[in-house]
Amino acid sequence: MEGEVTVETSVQAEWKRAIAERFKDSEDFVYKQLKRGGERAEILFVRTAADWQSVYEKLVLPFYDRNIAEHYEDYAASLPNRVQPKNLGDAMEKLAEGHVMLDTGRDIHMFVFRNQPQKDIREAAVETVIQGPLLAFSAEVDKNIMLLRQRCYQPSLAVDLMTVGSRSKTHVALLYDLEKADPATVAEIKRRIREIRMPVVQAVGQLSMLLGESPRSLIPRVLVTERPDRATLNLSQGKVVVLMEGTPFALIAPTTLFDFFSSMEDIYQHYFISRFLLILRYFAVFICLTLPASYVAITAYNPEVFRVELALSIAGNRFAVPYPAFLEVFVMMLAMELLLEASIRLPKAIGSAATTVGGLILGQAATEAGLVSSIMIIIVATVAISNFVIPINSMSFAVRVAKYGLLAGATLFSLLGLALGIALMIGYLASVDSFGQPFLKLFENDDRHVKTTQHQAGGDVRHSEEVS
Amino acid sequence: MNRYFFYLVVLFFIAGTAVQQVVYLGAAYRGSLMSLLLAFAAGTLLLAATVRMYARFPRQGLPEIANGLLPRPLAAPFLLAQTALWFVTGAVPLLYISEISKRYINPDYATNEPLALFLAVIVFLVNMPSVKLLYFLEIILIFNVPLLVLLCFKSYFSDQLSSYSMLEAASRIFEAPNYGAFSAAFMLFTGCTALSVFNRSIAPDPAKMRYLPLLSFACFLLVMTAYFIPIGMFGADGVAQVNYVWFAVADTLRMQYGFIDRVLFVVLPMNILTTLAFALTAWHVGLEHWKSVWPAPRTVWGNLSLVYLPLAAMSAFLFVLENQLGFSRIARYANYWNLWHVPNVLIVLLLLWLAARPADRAAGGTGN
Amino acid sequence: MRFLRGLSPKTAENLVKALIVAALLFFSDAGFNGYTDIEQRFFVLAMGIDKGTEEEPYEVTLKLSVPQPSLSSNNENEYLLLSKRSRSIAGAVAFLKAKAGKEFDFGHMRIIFIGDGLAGEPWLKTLDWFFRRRDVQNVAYVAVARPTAKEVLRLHPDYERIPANAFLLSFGSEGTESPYIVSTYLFDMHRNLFERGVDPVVSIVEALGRNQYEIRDSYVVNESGGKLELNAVETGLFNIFLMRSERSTLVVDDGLGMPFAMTADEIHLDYRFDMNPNRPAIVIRGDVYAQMEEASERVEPQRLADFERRAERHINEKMIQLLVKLQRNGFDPFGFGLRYRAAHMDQESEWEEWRMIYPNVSFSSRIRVRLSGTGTIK
Repeated sequence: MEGEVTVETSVQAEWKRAIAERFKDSEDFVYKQLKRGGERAEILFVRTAADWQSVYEKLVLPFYDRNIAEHYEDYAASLPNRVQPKNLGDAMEKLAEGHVMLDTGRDIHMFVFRNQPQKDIREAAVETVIQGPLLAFSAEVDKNIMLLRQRCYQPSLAVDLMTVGSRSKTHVALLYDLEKADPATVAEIKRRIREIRMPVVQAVGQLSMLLGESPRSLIPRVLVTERPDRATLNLSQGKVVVLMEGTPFALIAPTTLFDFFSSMEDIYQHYFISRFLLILRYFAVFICLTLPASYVAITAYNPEVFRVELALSIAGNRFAVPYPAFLEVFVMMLAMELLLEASIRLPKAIGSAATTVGGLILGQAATEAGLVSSIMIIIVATVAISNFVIPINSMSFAVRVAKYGLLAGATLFSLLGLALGIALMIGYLASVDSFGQPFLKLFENDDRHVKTTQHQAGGDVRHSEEVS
Repeated sequence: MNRYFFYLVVLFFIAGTAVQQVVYLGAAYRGSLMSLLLAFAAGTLLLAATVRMYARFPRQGLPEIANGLLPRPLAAPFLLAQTALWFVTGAVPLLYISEISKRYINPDYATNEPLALFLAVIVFLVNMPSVKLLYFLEIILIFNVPLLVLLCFKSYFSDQLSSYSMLEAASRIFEAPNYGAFSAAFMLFTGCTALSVFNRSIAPDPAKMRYLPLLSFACFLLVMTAYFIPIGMFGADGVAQVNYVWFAVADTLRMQYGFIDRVLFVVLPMNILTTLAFALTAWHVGLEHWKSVWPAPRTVWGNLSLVYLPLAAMSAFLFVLENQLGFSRIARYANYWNLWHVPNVLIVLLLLWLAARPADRAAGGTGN
Repeated sequence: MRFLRGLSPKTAENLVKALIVAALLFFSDAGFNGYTDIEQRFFVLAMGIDKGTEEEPYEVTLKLSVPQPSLSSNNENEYLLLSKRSRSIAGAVAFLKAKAGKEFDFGHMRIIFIGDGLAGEPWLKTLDWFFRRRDVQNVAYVAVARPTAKEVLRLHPDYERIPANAFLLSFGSEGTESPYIVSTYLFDMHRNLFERGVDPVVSIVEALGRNQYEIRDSYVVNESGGKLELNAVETGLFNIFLMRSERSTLVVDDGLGMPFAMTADEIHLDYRFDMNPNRPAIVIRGDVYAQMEEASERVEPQRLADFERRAERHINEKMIQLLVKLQRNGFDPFGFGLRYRAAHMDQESEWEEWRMIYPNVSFSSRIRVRLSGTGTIK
């Protein structure tokens, strides 16, 4: 072989020690000693990144094969998938990537035994992107870990394996980047998982609630995603990814509000396009929350906000409608919610017909019968559409519910109720913590040292930790 | 880091302008311009002094300093006085905006309704950690300040502005200043005194504050705008007749090609948010002072009553005030209250200076 | 009580907060005050005040719009005109509200007419109701209606789709830009009525037969109730002086040659005080850049200078005539007094000084006219 490097024994031992040290937090790292009589060999690899079945076939079995036994070293050297590590760091990266290190006592070899991920990985169904990786997590933890390792060839990626559920004993894996993640946060998450006392834990959503971040609150504090690229990105930002057996979704904690509005698209498109889309998303949220409320607040209390033509047009439209504006809005939005909820469960065959009937015909007919004004249809349609501009489902639901609160505020208290309702929402979001990190904070990073929660602040009981 | 300090200063400016403008453009009109200029000078000095003083006590607020320096019988009344001052400072714009809401948004509001709504939001949000309040402030200001700047520009370029009226007002510059207008304008600059509580969470570093003169100048421009634009729109003689100056000026502007015709309805929500943020901040500071007077309670309910009883009491007090007194009288009392700002600031600075001296001597005068 | 002890601190706090908020809302009688759906309101789009009788000095006329189910299909301009005489404007409005049955919304009222009969009464008293009410926009237009506000409000030109919109188009910058129209906002009136040194000017809207109206003349008024009428040319000059109209047409018919008309594209005007104690003077200087708009015969470019000179003489003469007329009657719509006050620092005496000086001021006008072209033909 060209460029064969003969590594001396002490250096070999040092390498192995360093590697074992580096990977000690990854529970999928395997360091096996093969013994046969007087012969010794050691294998080091990452179980989820490397195709361990091949490793077994190609490296372990031959060691115990009588025919090859004495010539194991030559056998090893003859394997075609052998690579040369340049230095220790390179070796560690290769290990993280899925290579296998074999120490035959005389030499250290590294082999490529990468797992082939591309077959039977399903496509992303819930979070789609126009141009970008189209794959999603699967229901097996190992496969998911492999997917993540394949995108993130970092030896500093630590993997912790646990189980939750005293009866179901569902497997859970915690991944985080040793160099980037905050150890306190990681410890906290681990602690919370260990303290879960449910008999059966089935889905990642359930897990996220059991992790204890205010299950009664509307706002999600944990991000649920099916995309490995999003998980990888978050890992590199220092977040913790939790995978669970049986659910093709991953949990990401801690989060900030802006995570819920970011789509992976933002990174895959050009700068101005992604900025435009981001602004569009925030605008959509604003519309979705405030449009029904401001419609009621303005038409019922302050019609002078509109221009004359618009005011007269709305007044004309509403002429035939028998009930007050807020009731009209509320009923229409309820109808829209029913439609949306039903469309989840419709059988595929009826699906499109039902949407057409519900959306177009009923809306049109209702207007003509004088039950709703046509401007109401526009508002409800706009609200429904802008709701789904939000990339993450849980936040989308939160907004759907929150807008009724604003609607109530505007109906009862007019413009003041609307403005104060928005202020209250922002204030609440600002006071919320996600696993110790502030949830809503613009321009972060310059005051990491400032303590934001009760725990960190050193036990001043007189502050409330969050608002609710 | 320093930007949170910046937000505090700007907040006091924006939220205070609407209220104080009525004072210095009102009946106490003679000599206002000179008073404003003096207040600007004094305010800049205050800004610099406060930052330097507090920089000697990193991560400590006024309560800690006072409790450390003064014996208990002195510290407690001092802190209680501070509490009262901050609560009233926060309450005045609340009453003002409550009145505005009753006039401009919905005349059918019950007498206490807008106040109750503001208080409801304040009660929800006031007991959060100081840092979180600053984050909230950041968001509110980032949305409102550009609107405000836009408004100012729009009014400068309006062709209804009578420049001669403004010149006439400017020609009165050498009239003797009066204390009422001075303290009204001075109050606008007292944002930095909020450091008495926020110094615990942010630690503004004077060395990094080279932009302080710029900040002062921007504030000065805002004060001048708030002074001259109403005069330009309503005339030097007529401006004293206008009751709610800020909003009346906003009503004179039109966005002809915009979706909302009357600029007033852009300014109203903006003011509602900033006033809310201001009252929240002021009451938060007051609450922190209050908390420091008493020893830390050990039960959950003791804790809660410590915090929420004064809030409930203050709310009830404001209700009764609004019901019984009516706005014009409240406005007059509030003007008298303004007079306390200057002495209060001086006392606080004195305290800080006294507290810093021993440390100064001990450290061999390495202060700043 | 055990239940209360068992709560976590967060929940306990939320409970306390909820209680306080509930108490606040309960004791303030909050919620649903003043809810009126938009179709339950009558939008008052224009309002007029006329002179009434001895006992009931004001006759208030409101022009209300009746909402149409669909604005685009029927092009009808449905409106309702209500009128009432009363001792006060507020009283009349209250009575009419009872008569109409629905709530009045003044938020869209953009034009206020004062009848010709009332134009001589103190304007502060007449307009007081408008100044005080919060829902009347500060940017509502004020104008005088001739012969009565009721007549003018009754007009509905065919091209108008929203009641009183035609007036808005005339006064606002979205419609025409005529030098004969003086757009005065309500706050403008307020300012000029109070300010010593300026007198407000309002346009006169004259109702002609068959749903047509004309805006030509204007009044200068002062706060004690005096009024002075300016004819069309004078109104045009007023607008030019204050540089308020973007395009002005000047017709020169002075008998020194053929009459012609020109359009002024750009006008810069300024004036200067020449405060010689014996002979106070105000000197007006300016530049008018114009294009020839109409002429009776061919105009050679070389002869432009002749036309310029004629135009200059014409405009300067007319300007001085106007100024003298104003001076003799004691009105000052241009704000000379205000500027005098602005230039002087002595507050108490400056106004008295001015009142003595003003009747003796001599005016001189040096406006230059530049004709930049003869239009598209010579």
